[in-house]
Amino acid sequence: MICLGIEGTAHSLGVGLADDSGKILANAKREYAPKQGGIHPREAAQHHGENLPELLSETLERSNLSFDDLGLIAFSRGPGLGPCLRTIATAARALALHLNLLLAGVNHCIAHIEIGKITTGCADPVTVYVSGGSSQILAFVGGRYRVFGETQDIALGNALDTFAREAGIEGFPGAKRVEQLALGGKYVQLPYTVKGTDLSFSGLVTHALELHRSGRSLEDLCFSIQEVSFSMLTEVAERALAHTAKAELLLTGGVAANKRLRDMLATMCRERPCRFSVVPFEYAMDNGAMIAWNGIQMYGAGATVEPAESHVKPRWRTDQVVARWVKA
Amino acid sequence: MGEGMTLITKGAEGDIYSAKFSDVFFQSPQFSEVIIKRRIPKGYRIPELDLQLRRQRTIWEAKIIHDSRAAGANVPIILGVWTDTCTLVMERIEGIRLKELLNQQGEKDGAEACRKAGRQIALLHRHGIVHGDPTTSNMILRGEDVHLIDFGLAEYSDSVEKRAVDLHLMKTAIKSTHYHRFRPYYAAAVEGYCAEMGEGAQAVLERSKLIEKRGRYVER
Repeated sequence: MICLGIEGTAHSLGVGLADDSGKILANAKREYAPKQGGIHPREAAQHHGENLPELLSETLERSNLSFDDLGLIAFSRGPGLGPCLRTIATAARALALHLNLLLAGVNHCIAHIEIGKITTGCADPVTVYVSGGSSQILAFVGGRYRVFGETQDIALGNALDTFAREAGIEGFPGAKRVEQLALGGKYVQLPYTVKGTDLSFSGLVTHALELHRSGRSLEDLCFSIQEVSFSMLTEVAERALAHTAKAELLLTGGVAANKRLRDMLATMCRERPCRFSVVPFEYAMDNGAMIAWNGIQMYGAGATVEPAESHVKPRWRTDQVVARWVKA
Repeated sequence: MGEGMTLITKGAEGDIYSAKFSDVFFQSPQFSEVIIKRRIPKGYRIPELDLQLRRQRTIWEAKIIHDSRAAGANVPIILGVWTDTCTLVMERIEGIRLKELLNQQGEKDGAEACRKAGRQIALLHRHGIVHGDPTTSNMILRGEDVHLIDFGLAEYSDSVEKRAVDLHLMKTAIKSTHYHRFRPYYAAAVEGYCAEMGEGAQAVLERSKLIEKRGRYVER
């Protein structure tokens, strides 16, 4: 059976196709990029609405498939930006009703873990999920993906982007530029905030911006923000590994693209020791394939949803989902 | 130091060894076994940040454990501090960790241990200390008493926010590892906390509910 998955929780619109053996048949995306500032939810939703029809037919055509070949429709039901979620949910419902197919409402964070597991071969990892909207340390315990630690304020990707934007560094997302500038920097002391297994990044950004205004070089600040925030994340990841006694670490989300973060986690895993996997870039970013694959899994566990009851869940927590498809 | 040390665990923070008191210091009728906590360099951190964190945390931990003991809390006795190697030597608390106890024992004993743990946390709070990492891995039942260990993230603070984070972390730890009896266990911990804390407890409890909502993606 082939599942069509639609992702649209934030600025990325993704369409993916997966079959029930876990094979990814297609993974196409289009991104909304704000002209200035951060993501505007309404503009992002309009982008998704305008681009989805074309992206759908393109994706099917390129895979030599038609709507008749589909057996299931899946969509990212949450968490995410309300207007974006509602736009793609409407499309998914229309498709399911029109094609007379079942509908699966996928939790975006869990989809990230599941696509990570199937593309890297991890069985039961502690997952570090860091993106523009999320920073969570997750592990499967007692039927659910439980949150062992998370940010108490802004997400790591958001922190890097915000610093870049406020410090006048050009480009979106700013995190990538921060990584480049960091290469020539020296260490400046910045607040290191770990509360048990929870993290906080907003004070770090504020302090770095203050130093920027007082004349500290951008290179030094970019370097130090990365060193401090990634060390915090690595410390909590190690703490979660120790607490759960799991032997695998999985890194996913948009910030997984950062080489320094990957190196740090890899070093920690080597010293522990523990197996370390990074989700391939295409599947670490927000994407439709992960929605399609988790849709297949949910279908297998009988967890599809009636279109009439498929309201979106902008604040849906990872640990609210009973992951029946996972063999503990 | 070095001979006769047995590695017990590689914690997230540092290596924990057990050793004979006499191997570390001199013959003593009071102590036989001691715990050595050595914060080893983490290769993933740059050396400046690494040394800064390890040294700061070693000194901090010794001072806070000592002050907690002076406040009447059940904590290990600090026997030595080495800042060059970031090493602490302390009394060994022989007993069962709450992490194991809560999974092995009946609900009544488990709840009783949680109540005592809540009391210990409140005792610290009343004396201006927050633990910072009150998971069930850091609580040991010895005889009738619950002891707190690992003050690596502890700090001096009277802030309601930081106290509430302690409570929230204890809740998260119980929920994530002992989910089957989460409600009675957490209720007992709160009961113990309130009994020791007195009237200050209410504000902390309310704030901890706020913190929980502040975690991203909580349905309101």
